[in-house]
Amino acid sequence: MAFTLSINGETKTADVDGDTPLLWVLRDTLGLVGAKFGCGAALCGACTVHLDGAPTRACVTPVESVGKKKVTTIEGVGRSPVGAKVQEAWKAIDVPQCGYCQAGQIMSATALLTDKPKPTDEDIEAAMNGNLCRCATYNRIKKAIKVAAGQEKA
Amino acid sequence: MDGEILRDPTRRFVLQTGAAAGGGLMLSFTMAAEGQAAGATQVNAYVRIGADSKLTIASKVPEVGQGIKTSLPMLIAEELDVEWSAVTVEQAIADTKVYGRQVAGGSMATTLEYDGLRRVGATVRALLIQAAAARWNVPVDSCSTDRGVVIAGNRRAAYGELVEDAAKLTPPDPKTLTLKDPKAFRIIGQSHKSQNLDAITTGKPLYGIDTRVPGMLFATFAKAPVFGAKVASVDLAPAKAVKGVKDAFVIEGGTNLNGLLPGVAVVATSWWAARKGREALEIKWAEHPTSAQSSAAFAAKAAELAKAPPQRVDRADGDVDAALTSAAKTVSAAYSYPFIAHAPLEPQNCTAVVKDGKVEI
Repeated sequence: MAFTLSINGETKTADVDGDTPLLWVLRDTLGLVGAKFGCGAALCGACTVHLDGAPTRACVTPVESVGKKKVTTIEGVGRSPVGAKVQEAWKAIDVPQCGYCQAGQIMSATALLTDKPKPTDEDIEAAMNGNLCRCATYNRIKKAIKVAAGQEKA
Repeated sequence: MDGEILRDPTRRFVLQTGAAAGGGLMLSFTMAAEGQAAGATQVNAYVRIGADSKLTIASKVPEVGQGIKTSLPMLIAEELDVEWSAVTVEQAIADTKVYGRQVAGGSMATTLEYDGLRRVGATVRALLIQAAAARWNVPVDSCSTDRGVVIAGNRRAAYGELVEDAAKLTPPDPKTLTLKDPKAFRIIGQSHKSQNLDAITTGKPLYGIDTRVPGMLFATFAKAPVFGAKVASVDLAPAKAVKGVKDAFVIEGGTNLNGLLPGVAVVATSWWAARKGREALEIKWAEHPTSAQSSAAFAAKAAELAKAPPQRVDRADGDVDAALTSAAKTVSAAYSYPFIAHAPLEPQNCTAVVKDGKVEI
């Protein structure tokens, strides 16, 4: 059936089964491949998007559950001032190695800083805990979050 | 359009590369006198220079997070004598006839390519100098370069002004070129950022799994829980009944553990449909000797082998036994590590386009 979705401020329709995870609607139906498929079981965080600003694992979110919630993906996160700052900090620190997890990392970091503009180390660890990085860029991720928050210099 | 040019580097250029005697890399260049791409000249399979002196350098080895898409083009840029900030890097297509070894794995690419790719850069630089010398009617020896400009006395020409002429010249034998003294390096030895930063931080397509071609189908593959076990029986009907599933079939596979192993493929119009189809399969797997393998058994076997006399000598320097006997102090330790998967976050995937009897991967 057809679902009407708000994605990065635009209205999109997708004619898919209701149990299709949002991730695959984004990637296969709408051609937005920034959110990544890692585990398909909400274990790695590579598919993280925002639903009304809240970090959400798109791989286990059936499209029929999205409703009117506003979906933001890595392709659109830079339109918010916080998202743009996070992306800039990621580039300034040269955070990624392979980069496959980083869309999810940036989405989680942006949600954190939107909620808590000056996070403590504990806040950062708690918010980023579900985003795995196989290259183990965790220290640079933490540094980039502090740079985006204006707590450290690049 | 930029990408299109490198997709067929052989149109203008043939690079033959092979292991020369002594393990060095042998490069030879042949230039085809064919038309140039609009506004930019492909000097060889690695380097394209625009009339505006914008540089594009191809990176031959797959980037998997090791930074090779930065480091290999740095080797070329250093000897080409350009500003690193003026360089755009492109991932080269897979074509071992043109590029030689194109493998990520073993941590050897920088070492193996270090000399050869510097000579690629030096060759292009030599051609640009030749072109300038001919234009100015001065000896080649009187010309030098500085950050993308050929200089002779008061005369200066940016690479972009010379590249069309340079591409028509016969390249020198790369082996005869003198490379930079490492003391003069401006690019090698400096830290440079990932070439993929923009794509990664903004979610642009970059990975194999992001590939989309018109009308493409998605396949999932159910593999045996142990290496190499064959499908004893399977009911394909439930998978084929899933909406969007086009087909489901058994793959016999081979016995080579590094090759295609037996399993069941489900092909569908979306990955989600293919995945649902795979979930619907009820597969009975045949017994296979590898089911007896375990980490504990590997560890036990390793311990047993370690007690036996050495079976192979890789290197023999001096008299080890005598040195150990006469040593004031000896230390012994055993190290072990498990047999584990690399487990990258990106699932193994591959896109194949079958057209006119050919397969593009």
